[in-house]
Amino acid sequence: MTDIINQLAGIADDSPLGTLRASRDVTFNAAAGSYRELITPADPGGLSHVERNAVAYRIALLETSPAVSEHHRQRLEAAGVTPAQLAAIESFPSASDQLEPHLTAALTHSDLLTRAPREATAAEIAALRAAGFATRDIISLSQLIAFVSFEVRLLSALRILQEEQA
Amino acid sequence: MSNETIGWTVEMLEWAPWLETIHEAGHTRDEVAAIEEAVPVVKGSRYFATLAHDLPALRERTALFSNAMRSAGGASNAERELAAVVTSRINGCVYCASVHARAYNVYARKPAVIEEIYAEGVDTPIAAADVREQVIINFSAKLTRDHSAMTAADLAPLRAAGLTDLEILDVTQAAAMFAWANRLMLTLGEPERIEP
Repeated sequence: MTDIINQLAGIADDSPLGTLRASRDVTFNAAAGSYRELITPADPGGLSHVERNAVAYRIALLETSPAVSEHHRQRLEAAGVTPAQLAAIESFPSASDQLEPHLTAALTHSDLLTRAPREATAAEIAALRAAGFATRDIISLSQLIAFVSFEVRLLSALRILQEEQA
Repeated sequence: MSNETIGWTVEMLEWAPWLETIHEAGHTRDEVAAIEEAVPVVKGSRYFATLAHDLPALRERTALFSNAMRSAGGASNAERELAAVVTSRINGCVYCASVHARAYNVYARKPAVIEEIYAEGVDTPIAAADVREQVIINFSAKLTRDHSAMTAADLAPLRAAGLTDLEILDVTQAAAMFAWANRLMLTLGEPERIEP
Protein backbone atom coordinates (compact mmCIF):
# COMPACT_ATOMS: atom_id res chain seq x y z
CA MET A 1 0.00 0.00 0.00
CA THR A 2 1.29 3.41 -0.97
CA ASP A 3 2.00 6.17 1.54
CA ILE A 4 -0.36 9.06 2.21
CA ILE A 5 1.69 11.67 0.30
CA ASN A 6 1.92 9.58 -2.90
CA GLN A 7 -1.76 8.70 -2.50
CA LEU A 8 -2.79 12.36 -2.25
CA ALA A 9 -0.40 13.34 -5.08
CA GLY A 10 -1.59 10.53 -7.36
CA ILE A 11 1.97 9.18 -7.63
CA ALA A 12 2.44 5.45 -8.32
CA ASP A 13 5.18 3.91 -6.18
CA ASP A 14 6.94 2.49 -9.26
CA SER A 15 6.77 5.72 -11.30
CA PRO A 16 9.83 8.00 -11.67
CA LEU A 17 8.50 10.36 -8.97
CA GLY A 18 7.61 7.43 -6.73
CA THR A 19 11.15 6.12 -7.06
CA LEU A 20 12.52 9.62 -6.39
CA ARG A 21 10.49 10.00 -3.18
CA ALA A 22 11.41 6.51 -2.00
CA SER A 23 15.12 7.31 -2.52
CA ARG A 24 14.82 9.77 0.39
CA ASP A 25 13.66 6.95 2.62
CA VAL A 26 13.92 8.73 5.98
CA THR A 27 11.80 11.71 4.93
CA PHE A 28 9.46 9.35 3.05
CA ASN A 29 8.78 7.29 6.18
CA ALA A 30 8.70 10.26 8.55
CA ALA A 31 6.17 12.17 6.43
CA ALA A 32 3.83 9.19 6.60
CA GLY A 33 4.67 8.75 10.28
CA SER A 34 3.85 12.38 10.98
CA TYR A 35 0.45 11.98 9.33
CA ARG A 36 -0.18 8.88 11.45
CA GLU A 37 0.86 10.48 14.75
CA LEU A 38 -0.89 13.81 14.12
CA ILE A 39 -4.10 12.81 12.28
CA THR A 40 -4.73 9.27 13.59
CA PRO A 41 -2.65 8.85 16.79
CA ALA A 42 -3.34 5.79 18.93
CA ASP A 43 -3.72 8.11 21.93
CA PRO A 44 -5.17 11.44 20.73
CA GLY A 45 -5.21 13.00 24.21
CA GLY A 46 -7.60 15.95 24.39
CA LEU A 47 -7.62 16.61 20.63
CA SER A 48 -9.95 14.06 19.02
CA HIS A 49 -9.48 12.47 15.62
CA VAL A 50 -12.51 14.38 14.33
CA GLU A 51 -11.04 17.68 15.56
CA ARG A 52 -7.70 16.83 13.94
CA ASN A 53 -9.42 16.16 10.63
CA ALA A 54 -11.43 19.36 10.97
CA VAL A 55 -8.27 21.42 11.52
CA ALA A 56 -6.52 19.76 8.56
CA TYR A 57 -9.62 20.30 6.39
CA ARG A 58 -9.75 24.00 7.31
CA ILE A 59 -6.04 24.56 6.59
CA ALA A 60 -6.24 22.72 3.26
CA LEU A 61 -9.13 24.99 2.24
CA LEU A 62 -7.18 28.13 3.21
CA GLU A 63 -4.13 26.79 1.37
CA THR A 64 -6.15 25.82 -1.74
CA SER A 65 -4.95 22.22 -1.59
CA PRO A 66 -7.86 20.26 -3.15
CA ALA A 67 -6.44 16.76 -2.63
CA VAL A 68 -5.87 17.38 1.08
CA SER A 69 -9.21 19.14 1.68
CA GLU A 70 -11.15 16.39 -0.15
CA HIS A 71 -9.34 13.71 1.87
CA HIS A 72 -10.27 15.26 5.21
CA ARG A 73 -13.82 16.16 4.12
CA GLN A 74 -14.41 12.48 3.34
CA ARG A 75 -12.97 11.47 6.71
CA LEU A 76 -15.21 13.99 8.50
CA GLU A 77 -18.30 12.77 6.64
CA ALA A 78 -17.41 9.16 7.46
CA ALA A 79 -17.14 10.15 11.14
CA GLY A 80 -20.69 11.53 11.09
CA VAL A 81 -19.95 15.25 10.96
CA THR A 82 -23.12 16.95 9.67
CA PRO A 83 -23.37 19.10 6.52
CA ALA A 84 -24.10 22.12 8.75
CA GLN A 85 -20.91 21.51 10.73
CA LEU A 86 -18.87 21.05 7.54
CA ALA A 87 -20.27 24.32 6.24
CA ALA A 88 -19.34 25.99 9.52
CA ILE A 89 -15.74 24.82 9.15
CA GLU A 90 -15.67 26.01 5.52
CA SER A 91 -17.01 29.47 6.39
CA PHE A 92 -15.21 29.75 9.75
CA PRO A 93 -15.70 31.81 11.88
CA SER A 94 -19.03 33.12 10.53
CA ALA A 95 -21.14 30.13 11.64
CA SER A 96 -19.05 29.00 14.58
CA ASP A 97 -22.19 28.68 16.74
CA GLN A 98 -22.58 25.32 14.91
CA LEU A 99 -19.29 24.09 16.43
CA GLU A 100 -18.18 23.13 19.93
CA PRO A 101 -16.14 25.85 21.68
CA HIS A 102 -13.13 23.49 21.90
CA LEU A 103 -13.04 23.05 18.11
CA THR A 104 -13.68 26.76 17.60
CA ALA A 105 -10.56 27.51 19.67
CA ALA A 106 -8.52 25.04 17.59
CA LEU A 107 -9.72 26.55 14.31
CA THR A 108 -9.06 30.10 15.52
CA HIS A 109 -5.48 29.09 16.24
CA SER A 110 -5.01 27.23 12.96
CA ASP A 111 -6.38 30.15 10.92
CA LEU A 112 -3.88 32.54 12.53
CA LEU A 113 -0.89 30.22 12.17
CA THR A 114 -1.78 29.41 8.57
CA ARG A 115 -2.31 33.00 7.44
CA ALA A 116 0.03 35.06 9.61
CA PRO A 117 2.41 32.96 11.74
CA ARG A 118 4.44 36.05 12.70
CA GLU A 119 1.38 37.45 14.54
CA ALA A 120 1.25 34.58 17.06
CA THR A 121 1.69 35.66 20.70
CA ALA A 122 1.45 34.15 24.17
CA ALA A 123 -2.19 35.34 24.23
CA GLU A 124 -3.12 32.53 21.80
CA ILE A 125 -1.66 29.96 24.21
CA ALA A 126 -3.73 31.48 27.02
CA ALA A 127 -6.87 31.35 24.85
CA LEU A 128 -6.32 27.65 24.15
CA ARG A 129 -5.81 26.96 27.86
CA ALA A 130 -9.03 28.85 28.63
CA ALA A 131 -10.82 26.59 26.13
CA GLY A 132 -9.64 23.51 28.03
CA PHE A 133 -6.47 22.57 26.14
CA ALA A 134 -3.84 20.79 28.23
CA THR A 135 -0.18 21.51 27.45
CA ARG A 136 0.13 18.34 25.41
CA ASP A 137 -2.98 19.25 23.40
CA ILE A 138 -1.49 22.67 22.55
CA ILE A 139 1.71 20.97 21.34
CA SER A 140 -0.26 18.41 19.31
CA LEU A 141 -2.41 21.12 17.72
CA SER A 142 0.63 23.23 16.85
CA GLN A 143 2.46 20.24 15.36
CA LEU A 144 -0.67 19.31 13.39
CA ILE A 145 -1.05 22.82 11.93
CA ALA A 146 2.66 22.92 11.09
CA PHE A 147 2.58 19.44 9.50
CA VAL A 148 -0.30 20.33 7.19
CA SER A 149 1.59 23.52 6.20
CA PHE A 150 4.51 21.25 5.20
CA GLU A 151 2.30 18.67 3.49
CA VAL A 152 0.43 21.06 1.19
CA ARG A 153 3.72 22.61 0.01
CA LEU A 154 5.35 19.26 -0.66
CA LEU A 155 2.23 18.25 -2.62
CA SER A 156 2.33 21.45 -4.69
CA ALA A 157 5.93 20.75 -5.69
CA LEU A 158 5.09 17.12 -6.56
CA ARG A 159 2.11 18.36 -8.60
CA ILE A 160 4.25 20.63 -10.77
CA LEU A 161 6.92 17.93 -11.18
CA GLN A 162 4.13 15.70 -12.53
CA GLU A 163 2.91 18.49 -14.83
CA GLU A 164 6.44 18.96 -16.12
CA GLN A 165 6.70 15.28 -17.06
CA ALA A 166 3.28 15.15 -18.73
CA MET B 1 11.44 39.70 23.83
CA SER B 2 9.69 39.83 20.49
CA ASN B 3 10.94 39.11 17.00
CA GLU B 4 10.72 42.83 16.19
CA THR B 5 12.78 43.90 19.22
CA ILE B 6 15.68 41.66 18.26
CA GLY B 7 15.57 42.04 14.48
CA TRP B 8 17.27 39.88 11.83
CA THR B 9 20.61 38.62 13.07
CA VAL B 10 23.23 35.91 12.62
CA GLU B 11 24.07 36.11 16.32
CA MET B 12 23.36 33.12 18.52
CA LEU B 13 20.01 33.56 20.30
CA GLU B 14 18.10 31.66 22.97
CA TRP B 15 14.51 30.53 22.50
CA ALA B 16 12.19 30.74 25.50
CA PRO B 17 8.97 28.69 25.54
CA TRP B 18 5.60 30.08 26.62
CA LEU B 19 4.67 26.64 27.98
CA GLU B 20 6.36 24.47 30.57
CA THR B 21 8.99 22.04 29.28
CA ILE B 22 8.82 18.31 29.94
CA HIS B 23 11.31 18.92 32.77
CA GLU B 24 8.95 21.38 34.48
CA ALA B 25 5.78 19.31 34.10
CA GLY B 26 5.96 17.22 37.28
CA HIS B 27 7.22 13.97 35.75
CA THR B 28 9.29 11.54 37.80
CA ARG B 29 13.02 11.24 37.10
CA ASP B 30 12.42 7.85 35.47
CA GLU B 31 9.75 9.29 33.18
CA VAL B 32 12.02 12.14 32.12
CA ALA B 33 14.90 9.72 31.55
CA ALA B 34 12.67 7.53 29.35
CA ILE B 35 11.64 10.55 27.27
CA GLU B 36 15.27 11.67 26.90
CA GLU B 37 16.27 8.20 25.82
CA ALA B 38 13.48 8.03 23.23
CA VAL B 39 14.37 11.43 21.70
CA PRO B 40 17.86 12.49 22.84
CA VAL B 41 17.57 16.07 21.45
CA VAL B 42 15.21 16.77 24.37
CA LYS B 43 18.19 16.84 26.75
CA GLY B 44 19.92 19.98 25.59
CA SER B 45 17.10 22.13 24.24
CA ARG B 46 14.11 23.91 25.77
CA TYR B 47 12.46 23.82 22.32
CA PHE B 48 12.57 20.03 22.06
CA ALA B 49 11.78 19.70 25.76
CA THR B 50 8.55 21.64 25.02
CA LEU B 51 7.67 19.57 21.95
CA ALA B 52 8.29 16.38 23.99
CA HIS B 53 4.80 16.63 25.50
CA ASP B 54 3.72 14.88 22.27
CA LEU B 55 6.56 12.40 21.94
CA PRO B 56 5.35 10.32 18.93
CA ALA B 57 4.88 13.50 16.87
CA LEU B 58 8.31 14.82 17.94
CA ARG B 59 10.01 11.54 17.00
CA GLU B 60 8.65 11.69 13.42
CA ARG B 61 9.31 15.43 13.08
CA THR B 62 12.91 15.00 14.21
CA ALA B 63 13.59 12.29 11.61
CA LEU B 64 11.95 14.35 8.88
CA PHE B 65 13.81 17.52 9.81
CA SER B 66 17.23 15.88 10.08
CA ASN B 67 17.00 14.16 6.72
CA ALA B 68 15.37 17.11 4.95
CA MET B 69 18.35 19.27 5.94
CA ARG B 70 21.16 16.71 5.60
CA SER B 71 21.33 13.64 3.37
CA ALA B 72 23.82 12.20 0.91
CA GLY B 73 23.78 13.61 -2.61
CA GLY B 74 21.18 15.99 -4.00
CA ALA B 75 21.07 19.65 -2.96
CA SER B 76 24.09 20.90 -1.01
CA ASN B 77 23.93 21.73 2.68
CA ALA B 78 24.28 25.43 1.79
CA GLU B 79 21.36 25.25 -0.66
CA ARG B 80 19.09 23.60 1.90
CA GLU B 81 20.08 26.15 4.54
CA LEU B 82 19.35 28.94 2.05
CA ALA B 83 15.84 27.59 1.47
CA ALA B 84 15.35 27.52 5.26
CA VAL B 85 16.51 31.13 5.64
CA VAL B 86 14.29 32.41 2.80
CA THR B 87 11.23 30.71 4.30
CA SER B 88 12.04 32.00 7.81
CA ARG B 89 12.60 35.55 6.48
CA ILE B 90 9.15 35.55 4.83
CA ASN B 91 7.34 33.96 7.78
CA GLY B 92 9.06 36.24 10.29
CA CYS B 93 10.95 33.68 12.39
CA VAL B 94 14.00 35.60 13.63
CA TYR B 95 15.28 32.68 15.71
CA CYS B 96 15.00 30.12 12.88
CA ALA B 97 16.68 32.52 10.46
CA SER B 98 19.57 33.16 12.86
CA VAL B 99 20.37 29.47 13.26
CA HIS B 100 20.20 28.64 9.57
CA ALA B 101 21.88 31.82 8.38
CA ARG B 102 24.89 30.86 10.52
CA ALA B 103 24.83 27.37 9.01
CA TYR B 104 24.56 28.79 5.48
CA ASN B 105 27.53 31.05 6.16
CA VAL B 106 29.63 28.11 7.38
CA TYR B 107 28.97 26.13 4.20
CA ALA B 108 28.78 28.90 1.56
CA ARG B 109 31.27 31.42 2.99
CA LYS B 110 29.35 34.29 1.38
CA PRO B 111 27.88 36.35 4.25
CA ALA B 112 26.71 39.05 1.80
CA VAL B 113 23.87 36.76 0.66
CA ILE B 114 22.35 36.69 4.15
CA GLU B 115 23.05 40.41 4.67
CA GLU B 116 21.07 41.23 1.52
CA ILE B 117 18.20 38.87 2.35
CA TYR B 118 17.96 40.41 5.82
CA ALA B 119 18.12 44.00 4.57
CA GLU B 120 16.06 43.79 1.38
CA GLY B 121 13.92 40.68 1.69
CA VAL B 122 13.66 38.21 -1.18
CA ASP B 123 11.71 40.13 -3.84
CA THR B 124 14.68 41.77 -5.52
CA PRO B 125 17.66 39.89 -6.96
CA ILE B 126 20.40 39.11 -4.42
CA ALA B 127 23.62 40.48 -5.95
CA ALA B 128 25.89 38.13 -3.99
CA ALA B 129 23.90 35.02 -4.97
CA ASP B 130 24.98 32.85 -7.90
CA VAL B 131 22.48 31.63 -10.50
CA ARG B 132 21.64 28.42 -8.65
CA GLU B 133 21.16 30.27 -5.38
CA GLN B 134 18.91 32.88 -6.97
CA VAL B 135 16.56 30.31 -8.49
CA ILE B 136 16.45 28.46 -5.15
CA ILE B 137 15.58 31.73 -3.40
CA ASN B 138 12.77 32.45 -5.89
CA PHE B 139 11.39 28.90 -5.76
CA SER B 140 11.47 28.78 -1.94
CA ALA B 141 9.70 32.15 -1.75
CA LYS B 142 6.89 31.07 -4.06
CA LEU B 143 6.52 27.74 -2.27
CA THR B 144 6.16 29.67 0.99
CA ARG B 145 3.73 32.35 -0.20
CA ASP B 146 1.77 31.00 -3.15
CA HIS B 147 2.43 27.30 -3.62
CA SER B 148 -1.07 26.53 -4.91
CA ALA B 149 -0.55 28.87 -7.89
CA MET B 150 2.69 27.19 -8.95
CA THR B 151 2.87 25.54 -12.36
CA ALA B 152 5.50 23.59 -14.28
CA ALA B 153 6.75 26.98 -15.52
CA ASP B 154 8.09 27.59 -12.00
CA LEU B 155 10.49 24.68 -12.54
CA ALA B 156 11.94 26.07 -15.78
CA PRO B 157 14.45 28.42 -14.05
CA LEU B 158 15.59 25.55 -11.80
CA ARG B 159 16.12 23.31 -14.82
CA ALA B 160 17.95 26.08 -16.69
CA ALA B 161 20.29 26.38 -13.68
CA GLY B 162 20.92 22.62 -13.85
CA LEU B 163 18.93 21.32 -10.86
CA THR B 164 18.03 17.62 -10.96
CA ASP B 165 14.80 16.03 -9.73
CA LEU B 166 16.54 15.03 -6.48
CA GLU B 167 17.93 18.52 -5.91
CA ILE B 168 14.46 20.01 -6.48
CA LEU B 169 12.93 17.51 -4.03
CA ASP B 170 15.61 18.40 -1.45
CA VAL B 171 15.09 22.15 -1.81
CA THR B 172 11.31 21.62 -1.61
CA GLN B 173 11.58 19.51 1.54
CA ALA B 174 13.92 22.04 3.20
CA ALA B 175 11.64 24.99 2.40
CA ALA B 176 8.48 23.07 3.36
CA MET B 177 10.15 21.88 6.57
CA PHE B 178 10.49 25.53 7.54
CA ALA B 179 6.80 26.18 6.85
CA TRP B 180 6.58 23.66 9.70
CA ALA B 181 9.46 24.79 11.94
CA ASN B 182 8.65 28.52 11.70
CA ARG B 183 5.07 27.92 12.82
CA LEU B 184 6.14 25.89 15.85
CA MET B 185 8.78 28.37 17.00
CA LEU B 186 6.53 31.39 16.43
CA THR B 187 3.57 30.01 18.36
CA LEU B 188 5.24 28.20 21.26
CA GLY B 189 7.74 30.82 22.44
CA GLU B 190 10.00 33.68 21.49
CA PRO B 191 13.66 34.50 20.84
CA GLU B 192 15.85 35.99 23.55
CA ARG B 193 19.26 37.60 23.41
CA ILE B 194 21.96 35.68 25.25
CA GLU B 195 23.10 37.86 28.13
CA PRO B 196 26.88 38.32 28.16
